Amino acid sequence: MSTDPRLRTNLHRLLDGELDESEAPRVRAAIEADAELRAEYEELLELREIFRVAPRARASDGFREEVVKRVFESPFRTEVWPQVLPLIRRLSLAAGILGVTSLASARVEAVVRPGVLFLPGDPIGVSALRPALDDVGHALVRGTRDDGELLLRRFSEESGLEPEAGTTETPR
Amino acid sequence: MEDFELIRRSLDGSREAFSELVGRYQDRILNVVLHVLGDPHDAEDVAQECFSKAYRRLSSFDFRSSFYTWLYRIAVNSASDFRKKMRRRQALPLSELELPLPQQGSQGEAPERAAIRKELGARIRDLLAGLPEKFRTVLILRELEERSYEEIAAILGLSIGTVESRLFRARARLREKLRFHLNA
Repeated sequence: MSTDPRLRTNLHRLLDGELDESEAPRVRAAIEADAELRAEYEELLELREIFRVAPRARASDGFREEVVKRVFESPFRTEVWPQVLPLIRRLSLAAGILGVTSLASARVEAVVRPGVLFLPGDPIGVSALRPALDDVGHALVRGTRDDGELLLRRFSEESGLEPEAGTTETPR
Repeated sequence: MEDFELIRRSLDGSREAFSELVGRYQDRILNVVLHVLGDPHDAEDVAQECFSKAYRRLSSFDFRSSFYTWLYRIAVNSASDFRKKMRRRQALPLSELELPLPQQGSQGEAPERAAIRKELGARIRDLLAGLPEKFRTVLILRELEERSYEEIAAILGLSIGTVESRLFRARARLREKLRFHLNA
C-alpha cells in the first residue's frame, strides 16, 4: 500500500470533491492499482453512507414563532444596545476605578454585563467572559494589567476569537 | 427573496423578514446544535438562542460573507459554550452502545450491510459524542451539513489545512471505532 501521505490526503479530498481536476486522475489510478488503498477509500465511502442515512432533526412547529417572540418582544433588542452600552461601559469603568485601590492585587475581579455583576470572590473565568462578549460585545475585566491580559489571552486561545479593541479595561 | 435583502429588512425592524430567515435555516441550525451538544434535551432551546443572538448582532453582519456561514459560526459557538457550561453528561463510550452485530457469512450481504448502516446512522449522535469536540464539529459540518473545506474554515475560524487535518483524523477515529461493522 502506498505510504505517500499526500496520496492519502488526496483520498479524502477526492471523496469530498475538493481535489483539483488535474490531480484526480492520478489518485483514481492509484486507487485502481492498490487494493489496500481501494479498501480504505471504500471504507470512507461507507462511513459517508452512514452519515447520509442518519436521521435529520426537524424544528418543532412553534420554533420560528418562539424565536420571533423572543427577539421582538424582548427588552434587549438590538437597537437598544447602542444607547445602553455607553452607559454600561461608563458604569463599569467607574466601578473598576473605585475598586482598584483596595483590590489591586486581586486577579480578575469583575466582569460586567447587563443586569449581571460578578463581584470579587465569584468564580470568574474565561467561560464567564464569553457570554458577556456574546451578549453585548463588551466586557470589563478589572484587575491588574497582567491579570487582565492573561485572561484575554486565555480567552483568545480557547475561543479562537480576538477580543475587539476597546472591549476591555485593565486598570493599572 | 435573497438572504441579504431579508437581513436589511430585519435591520429595519421587519418581523416577517427575520421570521423568514429563521424558517429558512432552523432545521440546519438545529441539526448542528443537536450534534455538537450530543444531547437532544437542550438542542432546541440553544438553537433558538442562537437565532436571538444572531438578531442582536445583525448590525455587525458585513454582507461580505454568506449569512449561513455567519449563522453557523454563532450556532457552533453557542452549542460549544453551552456544552462546556453544562457538562451534564459524559459521552457514552461506544463500547456501551448496543450496536447491531453483523452476521458473518450470511447470504444476501447487501441488504444486511444496508441495515447495519441504517442502524449506525440512527445512532450517529452517540457515535459522534465519543469524539473530541474539535473533531466532531468538522465532521458534522462536512458530513451532515455538506459544507466545503473553505466554508468550514470560515465558520470555525480555522485555516483550510487545519480543517483537512482535523477531518482526516476525525474520520480515522470513527473508522477505528466502526471497523468491525464496516468490514463485516
